[in-house]
Order: sequence, then C-alpha cells, then structure tokens
Amino acid sequence: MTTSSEALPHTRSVLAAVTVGMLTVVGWLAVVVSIILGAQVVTGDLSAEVPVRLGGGAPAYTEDVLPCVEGASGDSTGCAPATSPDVWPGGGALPVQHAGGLVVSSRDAGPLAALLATVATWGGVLTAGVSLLVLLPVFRSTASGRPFEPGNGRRLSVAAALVASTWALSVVGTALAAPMIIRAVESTTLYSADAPFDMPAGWLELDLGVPWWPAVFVLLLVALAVATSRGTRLATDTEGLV
Amino acid sequence: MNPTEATAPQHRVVSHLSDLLDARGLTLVELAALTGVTVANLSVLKNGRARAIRFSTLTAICDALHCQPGEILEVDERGG
Repeated sequence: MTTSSEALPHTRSVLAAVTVGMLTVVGWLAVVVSIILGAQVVTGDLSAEVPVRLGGGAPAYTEDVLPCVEGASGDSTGCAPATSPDVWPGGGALPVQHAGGLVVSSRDAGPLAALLATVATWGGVLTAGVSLLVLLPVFRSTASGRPFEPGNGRRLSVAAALVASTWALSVVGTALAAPMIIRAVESTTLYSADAPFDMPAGWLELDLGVPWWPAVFVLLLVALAVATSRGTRLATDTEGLV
Repeated sequence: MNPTEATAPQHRVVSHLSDLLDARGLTLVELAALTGVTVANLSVLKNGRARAIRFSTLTAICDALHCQPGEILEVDERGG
C-alpha cells in the first residue's frame, strides 16, 4: 500500500514526465509548423511583407494612406505636397497596410525574397521548437531534482545562440528582402476607375526598425547558462561528499 | 582492508567502515539511525566511493562506533 509520503514524490515524477512529454510534442510541432510556413511563403500562399515609409518623392497622405492628388480633394484647403492625377488616380489607396508602422506586402517577389522577409515568422517558430528540443534534457534533469547535470549550461548557451541568430537574421533578412519586395510592388499594375497604372518608383522606402524584445530572451538564457555552469562546477566539486 | 574501488582514483584514502561495522555488529541502517547520516551517504563511504567527508559526519561516526578517524580512514601506501 502506498503511503502519502511515498505518493507525493511519485505524483511529482509523473507530473514531470507528463510536462517533459508535452514539451517534446510542442517542440516537434513547432518545427513542423515552421517548415509548413516556409513552404507557404515560398509558394506564395503567404505574402511577404516589409516595413516601409513614404520616401521624399511621395506626396502627403491621409490616415487611410490616400495620396494627395491635385484637384481630387473636395477640401478647399487641399493637401500638399500633391501629385498629378497622371501619376496617381485621385482616391486611389497606396498598396500599404498599417501594422504598427506601414508595411507593404507582395506574393510576387520570388521565393528568396519571401523567405528573407519572413524569417521572423518561420524562423521564430523553428527556433522556438529547436530550442525546446535542445533544452529537453535540462527540463528532464531539473524535474528530477538535478538542475546542474553536466551539459545543461552548454545546452542553455546553444538555445541563447539560436535565439540571437534568428533575431539577427530576421533584421538582416528584412533589409535584404525589402528592395526586392518594393520592386515587385512597383512593377505590379494597379487599377483605378479610369485606367490601370503603375506604382511610381521611389515612393516606398525601407523603414528598418530593430525589435528589442528578443534581447530579453537572449539575456535570460545567457544568465541561466552562466548560473547553471557555475552550479555544475560546484556540484562536481561536492560530488562524493558525505 | 577495504580497498578503494574508485574508477579514476585521485586519492589513496581507503575506508575501513565495513570492518568496523562487522566488529561492532552494526548494520548501515543502525549506524544511520545512531549518527543521523543518511544510509546513502554511509554506503558511499563504506564502498569507497566517497571523495570528501565533513568533519561533522566523521565526528558522528566516531562517536557511534567509539573509534578514532584513523581507524576509519587510511592512506594506502601503494602508488596510484
């Protein structure tokens, strides 16, 4: 018969095993999802978007991102700088969306540009999955009451490096993909009530901003790696101490 | 004599705890109850797998077995 004092450690070990099992499934799921996302990006099922701002040659625009067109505004005060109706039809919206700042998307930029522009998406999911799988031995040993198993510090360092690399790659990828995506947008024929027209060149510029929130995860993992490595050294020193 | 069975001996200290227990007619469990040291730790010491011993542990064992530390631990004169 199992006493209550024996039941508690057993319950904890079952809980730990279930948790590690769930993390394993989540990790592999994330890897599979990232591959699917990447494939969808390459095939154009998912659009690739980059952050942009309106360049010096672009006219002023309203909150709905409608360029100011000469003679098109019903407001007697008008807006400036305004472009000619030969360049842009009055009332026609720019092919950008509000997402924090402005973003422009395209499904026709090519697979390389699409992959580079969406590193934050598929790369982020892939990194999360691979990091979980790399850290599984850490979770398992910690759940067993042995957080300072040899190798845990190294695994945490690897996870930190993965996150940092994906973070850097997402910024670099966006910068590399932006010219290709903007070029694709500019070469796409737009349609107005009057006639088709092309996006004027130079109106859209890359507005590259570095997201800083991944640094929290990197710093946290680095701190854990350092602390765990120290702990492992201490545990090794006291191994066999009675 | 209870030779050290460490796989990679970095010391030549051997434990005679097994001999002392036999001489006193005590088991590891009984010694653990007398000293407050866990059976696991006493087993580690008895089987020569210990790499360090606290003075408090040594004191407790010596009090329980009415012996001196030199009767429990000995440095093997043979080279490593």
